[in-house]
Amino acid sequence: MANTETVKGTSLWKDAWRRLLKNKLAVFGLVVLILMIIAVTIGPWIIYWLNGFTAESQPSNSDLLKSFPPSLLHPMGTDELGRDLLARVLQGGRISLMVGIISTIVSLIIGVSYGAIAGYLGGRIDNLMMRIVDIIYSIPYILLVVVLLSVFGGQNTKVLVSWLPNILASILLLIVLIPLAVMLFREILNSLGDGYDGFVLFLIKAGYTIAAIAVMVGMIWGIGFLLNAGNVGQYWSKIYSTSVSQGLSQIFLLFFAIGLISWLTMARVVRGQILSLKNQEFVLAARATGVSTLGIIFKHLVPNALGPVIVYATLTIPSVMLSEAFLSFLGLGVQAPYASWGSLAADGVKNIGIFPWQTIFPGVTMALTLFSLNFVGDGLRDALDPQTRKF
Amino acid sequence: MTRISFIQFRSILAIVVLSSFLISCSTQATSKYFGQTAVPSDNIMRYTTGSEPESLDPQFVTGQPEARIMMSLYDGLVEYHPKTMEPMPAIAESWEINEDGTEYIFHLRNTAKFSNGAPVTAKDFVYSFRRALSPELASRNANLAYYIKYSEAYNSDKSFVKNPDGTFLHKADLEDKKDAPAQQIATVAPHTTVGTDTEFHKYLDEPERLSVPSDVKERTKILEKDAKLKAAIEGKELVAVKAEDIGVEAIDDYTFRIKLYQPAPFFLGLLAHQFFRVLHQGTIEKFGKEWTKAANIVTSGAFKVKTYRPYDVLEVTKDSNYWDAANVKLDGIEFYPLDEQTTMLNLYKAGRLDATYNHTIPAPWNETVRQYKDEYSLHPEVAVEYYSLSVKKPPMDNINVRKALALAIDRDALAKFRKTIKPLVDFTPEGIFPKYEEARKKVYTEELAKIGSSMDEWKARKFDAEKARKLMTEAGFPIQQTGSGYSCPTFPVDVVNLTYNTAESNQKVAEFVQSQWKQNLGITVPLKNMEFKTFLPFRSAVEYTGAVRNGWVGDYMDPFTFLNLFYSPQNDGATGWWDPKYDKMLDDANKETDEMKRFEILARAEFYVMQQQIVIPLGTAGTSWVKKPYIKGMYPNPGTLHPWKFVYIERDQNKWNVSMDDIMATEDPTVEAQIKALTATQEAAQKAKMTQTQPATPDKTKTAKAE
Amino acid sequence: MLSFIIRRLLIIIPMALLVITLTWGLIRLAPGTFYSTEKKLPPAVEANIKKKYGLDQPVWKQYLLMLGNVTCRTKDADEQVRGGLQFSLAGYDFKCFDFGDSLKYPDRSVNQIIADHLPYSATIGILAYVLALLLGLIAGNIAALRQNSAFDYGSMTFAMLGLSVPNFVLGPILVAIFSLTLYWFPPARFGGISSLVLPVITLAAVYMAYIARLTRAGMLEVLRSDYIRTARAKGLDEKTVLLKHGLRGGIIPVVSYTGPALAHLLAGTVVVEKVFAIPGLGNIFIQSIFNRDEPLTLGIVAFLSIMIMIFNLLVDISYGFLDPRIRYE
Repeated sequence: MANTETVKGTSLWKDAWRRLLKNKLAVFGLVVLILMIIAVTIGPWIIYWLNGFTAESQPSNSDLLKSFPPSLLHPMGTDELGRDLLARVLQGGRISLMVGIISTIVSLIIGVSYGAIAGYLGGRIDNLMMRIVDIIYSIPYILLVVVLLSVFGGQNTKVLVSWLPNILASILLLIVLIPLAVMLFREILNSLGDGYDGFVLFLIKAGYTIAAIAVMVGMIWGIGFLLNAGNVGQYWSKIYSTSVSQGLSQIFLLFFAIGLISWLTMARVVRGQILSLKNQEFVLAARATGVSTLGIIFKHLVPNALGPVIVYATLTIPSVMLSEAFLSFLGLGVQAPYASWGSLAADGVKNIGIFPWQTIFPGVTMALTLFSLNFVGDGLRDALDPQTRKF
Repeated sequence: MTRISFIQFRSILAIVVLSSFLISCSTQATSKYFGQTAVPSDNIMRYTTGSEPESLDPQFVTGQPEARIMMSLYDGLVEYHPKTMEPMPAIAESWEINEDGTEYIFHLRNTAKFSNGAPVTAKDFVYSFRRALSPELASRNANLAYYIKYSEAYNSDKSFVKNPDGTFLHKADLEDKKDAPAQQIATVAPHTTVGTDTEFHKYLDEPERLSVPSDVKERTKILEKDAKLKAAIEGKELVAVKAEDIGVEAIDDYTFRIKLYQPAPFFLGLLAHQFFRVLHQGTIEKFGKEWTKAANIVTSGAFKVKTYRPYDVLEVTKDSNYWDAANVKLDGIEFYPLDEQTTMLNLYKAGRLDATYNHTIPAPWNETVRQYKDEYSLHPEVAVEYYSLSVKKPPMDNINVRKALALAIDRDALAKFRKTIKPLVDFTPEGIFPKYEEARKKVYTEELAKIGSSMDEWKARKFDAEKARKLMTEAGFPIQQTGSGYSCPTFPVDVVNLTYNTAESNQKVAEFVQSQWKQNLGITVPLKNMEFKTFLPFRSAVEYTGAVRNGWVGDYMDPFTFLNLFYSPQNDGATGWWDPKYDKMLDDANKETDEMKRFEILARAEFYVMQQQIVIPLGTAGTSWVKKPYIKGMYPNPGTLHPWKFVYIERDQNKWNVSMDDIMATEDPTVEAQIKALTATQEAAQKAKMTQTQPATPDKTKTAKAE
Repeated sequence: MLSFIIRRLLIIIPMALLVITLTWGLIRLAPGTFYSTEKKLPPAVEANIKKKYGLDQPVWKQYLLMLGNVTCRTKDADEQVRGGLQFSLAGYDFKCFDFGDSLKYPDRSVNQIIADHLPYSATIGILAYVLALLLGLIAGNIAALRQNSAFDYGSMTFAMLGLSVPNFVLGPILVAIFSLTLYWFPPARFGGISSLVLPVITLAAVYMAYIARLTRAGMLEVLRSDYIRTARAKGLDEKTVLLKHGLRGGIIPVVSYTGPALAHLLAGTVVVEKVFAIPGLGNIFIQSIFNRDEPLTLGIVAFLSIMIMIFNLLVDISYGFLDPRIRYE
């Protein structure tokens, strides 16, 4: 956001931060989260350095190929292939948190711009944009995941990898740029109606608008083209094939699939917020001083709607992690031998009556993290909403 | 701060309570039986067959879950023996097979009835076979019957070619003169007939007619490739192959004949399959698509449909019209469609399920459940697990690479870890076909001596890491020792994958194999799991590079069902490999009428294909299912297909304890008497016929022994 | 108001058609067919199947036929109708909403399957939602009224637990304790009240947690608002203030959450149905995708999407009753 915002908002953010620190549950959540992130980041290295275990290393002695209860060597026990469960839980945490964070960022980028545009423009465009959300919402996302995994994860992987940037670009184009273009077009019409702007001014504005659209479209497709045809394309393929050889390819598709779904609710939340903000005095003032539509949306409305967005984002992470867990439960999740908390819990719960540690440790770790995220989210909501100052 | 400790206290408390519960339920394995064990008050068995049955039409359904249900609802010419799965008499009291094994005649018992009381006659079988093969039904099992003369032509909508003089063009007419004599012997040759010779039989006994697709587009496609064929059929009339043309015939009400176009020694065993069981013509014609509705359905088996609530329960009840109703001991069976192994085991443990089907015990549970000797069964199955290799693509096109990868997997460790499979280095399962294994041992010893090897060396293929590394290095991928492990930097791990369809057991095996290759060869082959339906075309079209999970369950009790997997260019081995020499060996074997000689030829074929190492055998599957101790007459047979009329509930607790390990050898007087009664009528009929027709000379007709 | 409802109802039609088209496209994009099995089919057998199910037709024809099936089309003379509506108009026979037979389970029509299995999901879903609503509202209200008390923290922590434990973990844990150790409830299958207890609790946990939190937040907001202050100033007794004025505004977030939640609950939740082997629609839906059972997937998607849209509309309408400030033009 613009610099002016930070200057203006300093006290607000400082205030919120102070209030957050007063909320003990939120602080507890924050501490747990930070510890969890540190553990997950450096934990696997420490275990490897101490005992030589990695998440996927199996003992070479075939007598050890079974699930042992927790011991000093294996604080969380082992799974049926004799792999150290602590190492797997930590490595699984990397994937689970990564899925949570990356998918949430995807949902933030798409959801906020989409919701803000729909909310500000209102009327027919808003109606249309929200119906599009409804439609995507109604498509079974399991089917979407199956198709994504099979089309990209199947036989054609290598060929289709190069498509990925273009597909991403097309989706961005469809859901963000088209409404943007419509909005700018409306601006042209408005300026025509204003009359006193003068015909010359209108021409300049129109030219500027068309150029802006062209530049944006060009940029998106240009990036796609570069990634696709140029050296960058090979570089991308290289990144992708290394990740395939590490067995992580499905993860990328999961980010994509889950991100594609989770922005819908975000868009709704943002739209609702913008709807209630757009008729307030500060927006009218901005409009009166001649700030452009885009400027109003991204400089004035979005920052003011940021509170609920941040809160919602912290709540999206847990729900995304649960979605991943659900997909793992259906067998569509992360690629073996890697695991996520969800897949570990889903695997473990089948043997709950016999190897309870296989469920308890990943389950508790996951629950603790989700717990903390929810606390932080709640704390943030209370902190950012000035009305709850009494809290 | 107090609040935080409060929460911590709560969660710690919750965990402690939870784990104490869990530990208590995991360590309570002190009782004699697994979970709740109480005889159900009614005489009804509760069983699960896996997923929801696709249909109640036995000719449409294909899966194992359905097969078990169909066995309760429909009866066929023959039935599986409860222990060995060899064919034994059912509606057919007895049967005869002609000398070259292409004609079967069945003598039906005149007491057999449908569930509506109508008698079962040979005409019903003719109708059932014709319906099964009709293109309109489009059954996925149709190819099981392709051994029947003209059945493939009918099923695939083909036409005979009529010469202007009214005769039909024969297949042999188009063959080269050179091959002709051999062909003559195979198909026309002077040959014995069983049963009366009829007009229809004369038509069937003619040399095989030529058939071409009825569809113009498809025909033109074939004719364009084959100028000789085009010339031969030019301007001639095409007569569509009709249902009436296929090789099944009702000689009289209780005599049924089948004509095959080539000998298939395993065909009799195949006839117990649900696809060949008898259906009631009137009902199907009256209700059309609706005939399988519980209100309309007419069945022919020991049980009939009582209620059917899809995805919930299928209740079948004893059918008093069944010809052998006196020997049906259960009053009914409830089939529960269940998908999750854990759910099945939970229901079983809670005493709400009396038995499960094969592979239902989750691997980690095996050790616990195995303690209950009277309930848990682990016997070899007529099924193998293996990895197919993409032999046409590098690096798998190199035979040494394939051999190295196969040698680098410790099969014993795999079996130990999986707990239910037996290590396997050949392609046919171990411990299922004792006679074949005998023949195979003999052939292998000979063949191995020829190449300067021995049986011991062959057996050592279960695991030999040293040799694997040597072979891999020879193949051009040198392996270096690095610290305690190995590395193979030149092996193209970025093009190969180990692909499997999503299932926990597949995943665990793949993880194990990946780790073995990593430890023993220093090669980390990436794993890739796929949703089942995505996986199937990917595998069968050999689109993968590297290895792919595969498995096979035998359709009948003969090694041919396995070796057939690599037969013909469109074979189902999913490797891309095909060798006409191998096809010829299999053809020769089926023409051989002496059982042991035939097995020897088959063994030679197996040796031939195993030397190519186009697949990596992993293990013979094990049954791995449970039944409550009071369920009797249910045996861990190689296909887990139970003829339900032998099953009963034993209320006398003293008779419960029979260890499943030796249940096959233990004689259950009730079941033995029942089997004896069934086979006795057949043997008597057979003997009577023998003395009647040829009192002096020893009978040359092969008699089927139901053992 | 009326014109708003009519407009929203009308727009459901093109939206549902779009959803169906997109879903159809996705099914066609996915590799594999409904008839593929472990065994490779001989070409002749495959050709028979393709012919029987019209898969040998051009794709656009198949699409139009599908579209006709899900909406309305003229009926062929000898065609068997498998559910939906039938009528004659201007000499033509029409049939509507006939999705045909399932491909995997050819004995049953799609309409029949939905009608058969919806009640199972609905029973468990509605019971779970009622339980969640009851407990959630009570807990949320008390927590809001006694903000920062031990009860507030206790119930909210408990609610968090419901949100943090995936139900595929919660279900088996409940089964392990209550069915396999204590033998109180059956571990799976539908039948009798005792079999409902564990699935309903498993399903209710998440919703209860959500509702409790939404109620608490909503009530806190409302209790600070001007109209409550006015009501109190008017001298109304606390009970009337809370129940008549407070609750009405405080449950708006709960109501807006109820719409989509109820639609999902009607369709069943896959996990609970899978864990407890309940013959509900949710599991059948997921299986139909894995089976590539096109008519069944489309039928359920059509049904569900329309349900979701109608529930959303109902939610929008109910706002008007709960909050007089909201008006629809």
